[in-house]
Amino acid sequence: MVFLAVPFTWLLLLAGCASPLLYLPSEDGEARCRQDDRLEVPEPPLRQLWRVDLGRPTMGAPVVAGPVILLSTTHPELVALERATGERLGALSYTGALASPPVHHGHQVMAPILGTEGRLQVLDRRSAQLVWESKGRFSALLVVSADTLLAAREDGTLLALRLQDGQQYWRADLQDRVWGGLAADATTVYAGTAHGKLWALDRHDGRKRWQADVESAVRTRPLLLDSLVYVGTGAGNLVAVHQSTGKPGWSTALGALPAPELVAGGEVIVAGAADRRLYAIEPADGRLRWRFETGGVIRGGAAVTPRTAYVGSSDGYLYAVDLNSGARVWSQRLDGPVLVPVTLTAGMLVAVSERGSVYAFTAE
Amino acid sequence: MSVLLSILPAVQPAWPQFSRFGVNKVQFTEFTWQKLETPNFDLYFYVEEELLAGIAAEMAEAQYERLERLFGHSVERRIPLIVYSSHIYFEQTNIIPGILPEGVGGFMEFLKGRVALPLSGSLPEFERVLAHELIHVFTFDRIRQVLGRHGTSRIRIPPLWLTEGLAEYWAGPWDTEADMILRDAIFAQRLISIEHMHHIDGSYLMYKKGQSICAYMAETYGEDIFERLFTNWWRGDDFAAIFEAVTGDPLSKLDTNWQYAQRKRYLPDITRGDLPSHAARQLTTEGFNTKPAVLTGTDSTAFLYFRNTRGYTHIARTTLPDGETRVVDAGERSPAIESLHPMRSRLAIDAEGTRLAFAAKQRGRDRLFIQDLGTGETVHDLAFDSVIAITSPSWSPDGRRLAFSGADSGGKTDLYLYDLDTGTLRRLTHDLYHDHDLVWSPAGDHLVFVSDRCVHGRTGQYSLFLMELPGGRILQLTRGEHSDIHPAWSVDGRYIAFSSDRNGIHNIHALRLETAEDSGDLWRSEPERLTRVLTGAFAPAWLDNGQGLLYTGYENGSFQIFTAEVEPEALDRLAAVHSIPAAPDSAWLAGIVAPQPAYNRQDYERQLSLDIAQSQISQDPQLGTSGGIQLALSDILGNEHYYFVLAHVAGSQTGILDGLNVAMAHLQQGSRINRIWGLYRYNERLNSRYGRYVREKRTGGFLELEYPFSRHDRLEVRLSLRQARIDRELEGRRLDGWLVSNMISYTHDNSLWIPTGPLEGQRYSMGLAQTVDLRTSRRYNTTIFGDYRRYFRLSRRSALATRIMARRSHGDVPEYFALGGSWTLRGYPWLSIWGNKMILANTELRFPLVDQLAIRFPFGTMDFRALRGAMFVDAGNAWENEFGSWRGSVGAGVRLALGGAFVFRLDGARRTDFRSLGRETHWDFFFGWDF
Repeated sequence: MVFLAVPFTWLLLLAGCASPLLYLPSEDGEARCRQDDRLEVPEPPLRQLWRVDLGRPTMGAPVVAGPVILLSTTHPELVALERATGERLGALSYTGALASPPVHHGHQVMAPILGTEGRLQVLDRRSAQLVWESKGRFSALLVVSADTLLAAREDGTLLALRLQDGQQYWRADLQDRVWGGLAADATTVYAGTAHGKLWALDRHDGRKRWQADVESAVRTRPLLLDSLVYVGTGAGNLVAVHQSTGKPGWSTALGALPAPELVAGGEVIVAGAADRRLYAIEPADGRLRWRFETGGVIRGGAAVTPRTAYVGSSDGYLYAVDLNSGARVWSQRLDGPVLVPVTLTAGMLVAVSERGSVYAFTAE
Repeated sequence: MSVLLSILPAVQPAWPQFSRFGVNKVQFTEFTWQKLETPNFDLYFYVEEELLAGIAAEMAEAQYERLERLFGHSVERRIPLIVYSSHIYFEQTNIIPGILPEGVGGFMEFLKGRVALPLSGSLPEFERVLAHELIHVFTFDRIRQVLGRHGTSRIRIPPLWLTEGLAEYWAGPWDTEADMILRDAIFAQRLISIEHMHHIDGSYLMYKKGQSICAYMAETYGEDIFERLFTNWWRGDDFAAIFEAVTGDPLSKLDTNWQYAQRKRYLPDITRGDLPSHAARQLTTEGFNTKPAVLTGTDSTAFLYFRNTRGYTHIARTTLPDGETRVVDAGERSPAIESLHPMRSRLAIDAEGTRLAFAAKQRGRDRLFIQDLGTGETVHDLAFDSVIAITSPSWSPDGRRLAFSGADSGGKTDLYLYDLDTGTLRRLTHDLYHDHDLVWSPAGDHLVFVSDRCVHGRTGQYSLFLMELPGGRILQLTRGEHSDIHPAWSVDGRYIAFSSDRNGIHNIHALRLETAEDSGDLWRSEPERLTRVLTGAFAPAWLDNGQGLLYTGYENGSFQIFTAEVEPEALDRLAAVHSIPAAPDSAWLAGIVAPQPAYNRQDYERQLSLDIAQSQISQDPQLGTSGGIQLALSDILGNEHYYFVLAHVAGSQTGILDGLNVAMAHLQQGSRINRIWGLYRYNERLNSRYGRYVREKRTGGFLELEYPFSRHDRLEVRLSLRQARIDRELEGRRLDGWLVSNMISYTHDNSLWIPTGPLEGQRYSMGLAQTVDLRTSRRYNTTIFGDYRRYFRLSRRSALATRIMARRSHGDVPEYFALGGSWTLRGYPWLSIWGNKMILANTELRFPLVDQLAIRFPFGTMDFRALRGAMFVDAGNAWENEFGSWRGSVGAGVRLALGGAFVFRLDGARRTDFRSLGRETHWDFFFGWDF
């Protein structure tokens, strides 16, 4: 609590506001948000709505939490911007580096913090108060499933914690580190490990359902679609495994290391890769539908609308690609490389450059 | 530091820079540079290598694309890439100041992130080196980006074994040479742990062990482990912490498992063969010995070879069976020969056994030397305008012609034939294939040579080829996905021995040649393996009787010469059953020299950019407070440098402006004559003979010209004009005036160094300087100086060093010289003996104490490279009118190499007048190399 009280006070003064920092509680703000939520995700061409300079690159994709956009910088701090205007609402500094970007659920913000011992910290973003924390060094992107927070530790264990108070539901020993992240549906939790194992565990008790060998490190968050689970691997492959049995589906070679997020849309799986290309893969058989070449490596994942895939590249451009044909339909140069995923929300596309500039675009 | 070192000699009074030793980097060739702009590179080349530049551009872009995928990273800048068509030209580069040894295949430097490399004959090897250097570019750019995005200011440099090991691992496949190094290390019990890898930092062994560790890491943790390590580089203060954060394993676990895996991999090989020393008779033991050439036509068996036992490669002769060895040519000890190319070339003895031909580098190009083996005289010294680099001469059977491999200014390495009678040179091949290592057949109708003009040449493999003489038709003698090198005809011309790695280890093989009686066509047998060594056997040479051969074997980290018997039955079994087809016209070059994209090409324009900007502030109890900034700028090629110094010395009694020190200098080193000019305004305090400081204000300019005759000799001329205001109130006078100073000096330096200082060779400098008052024509002073140092090698690591130094200055305002302290006359206080005349003699016995010293502190272990001992006798004096008596000292000391010029020296000395010895021991300590 000492950690929270001191920086919190300091930040209040810095931000010059008396209201909680990572929250937009006004009636006006909520109303704007409800109005915005009725908007559709934007299709190109886009125009710039606002731009804010954070001065630091961010970890992971911007997170939209109602009327607020949350960004974790490498400072490390959690910055809140008003979604509609980009106005900086406030920031919260962490005392230790973050192992992976915080996740947001409801009013809670969960962050794995490194340090000598490490801990998982859950805050209420309205009050910036600590809700609960769990000791240990957590390695991978967290995931929330219903009332459960799933978190993987560096020692190779996977924890299911009650979101409300951190009480442990179950714990599973995966014997290997999870790098790419976790995914869960109503019954099963999926985790890919550094030595190329894909695990499926019962979501309720953590018991192993199956384990599949995908040959090299799982570098992406598992993507669940229909009856298959898809992961990108360190060997540069996109691998499909049957959700129910863990039996291999298909494997197709991307040109290089995949970006950490796979997305599905327009009846294809969209994956960026370090060979500068965005790939659209048929989910059923892994055939290549199209590929689109940018001018630099793609390290951040894409975001898709019903018709368009948006992706940033290290060449400093933001691209909009037609999901059917793979043709470029729009592009915009930012002030630096784009190495984190872009985020789509109602009426808005948010992207962050390595210079720390946050861009919001909307349909023209 | 480099700024100060560069600029201060030019603005100091005359005497401190009288003895600037060091070898010269000579610009023997002036190039017309151009620039090619590709998507990711600014490629600099000279017009003679236009074809190579186009190929290099394509290779660089292809490698960039590949590395982008491996690193998941784009380099956010254009990469300057400087390409040289020959290693000889590459050695003249000014991009980095140091002398480039022949073993350096390329480099990436940090000031401007430049990559420079030469073509040394093989295009696949060129591409491998290019990839190696670009991996460094990506590694450091990725680390910079990651640390930058996490706001980490502390530099976390990866261990050298990792950077070089990864560069080797990703630049090309694991090959038999890497196997040889690792296998030998296992059997010689020299497999150093990761923890102690810094003990072999920079060695070839470190490169290959690093490559092996990286291969093991990829095998254990996945090929993307390196990308994960670099992405998480911010997560630890050192590599061990980063590695553990990423893998969850301590580095010690990797170390243990890697070593175990290597033993498991290589130890079973003991069943496949033996180490050379167990398989054959070893003829040399000390140092490095390679490429034997059998001396024919003599009563006893003798052979000549390259030998390096003390840092210089020379040509030696050993007679069998007694093993008597003597020097045939001093080689690199001689100022006339800068390199004998022992790894790339070979020696050639004519059929009569009377003449030796060898290639050597001298003054910016290779030459062919022909030496009379009876008298030791050089009877021919041949250089060719169109040939820059020469290797592997071979005599025609009649001794009237020499064939050799030569590289032209565009980088093409081809076969040449020189007629000694007519003095004509004929080029036998003309393309970018790497044709080399040729030997004339005893019948004189064929040349056998090594080339990559084969299907697998694109991946760096070599095969043997025959060239019919005089027609020039090329036949492919061997083929396959392996390397066949170092061919040697048997005396009767029926067999060719060569080294081949077709079984995974380089061993000596032989094949039989027969001419079909009906058609006259040549037929060959399958190769028969003659040796079964575990490490590597190279460069065979048939003995006169045809029943044995000499070869170079690799064992315990060095090359030695061995002799092995050859069973006649083994050769008799060989049946020439294969016809020898014509070589393909274009095996793979056509794909490489295909039309290139039309990149923007322009003449080189000098653009200066910042190299160093630094500031400093210091407090000295005697000199007071001083502070300043220094800037250094240079162009991409390093030919033009600007230096700026702005400093302020507190304590001036005339205000802040009066304490300003400003200097600038411009160095031009793109041509044979190095020019440096500069302007300065200095207000500083200098040592005086009164034990106190005098103040001198100087405003002026200077011009200095340096003309290097060779790597070892140069002439320097310097002219300066300055307004000097010298406060010498201690002398009872002030000296103001416009002073003109001239200086001329000659310097020679061929010393061989170890980390603490010179060990062998000699160096001397002598000159004359004069200073005149421009307005009054009054001669201030004339100074003559000389400094001679010679180092007598007593053993591999001990030497007797001697120095005689004398200076004399006379005139109205003579220069004063000081003795005393660690660098001059030990046992006497620092700069305590003054005079306008000075003489100094030193004799010092230098010997090793400890090679590696590791001291464990609570905060970590400090490793020191060399601890050396010294015993010395010094004598000297400085005087004005009367010499007085000699002052001397005797003593002993230790030196500890801390890295670079940081050599800690501690000497204890007792004074002597050479009749008695003082009872008090005076201690001197200082940081710097031995004289």
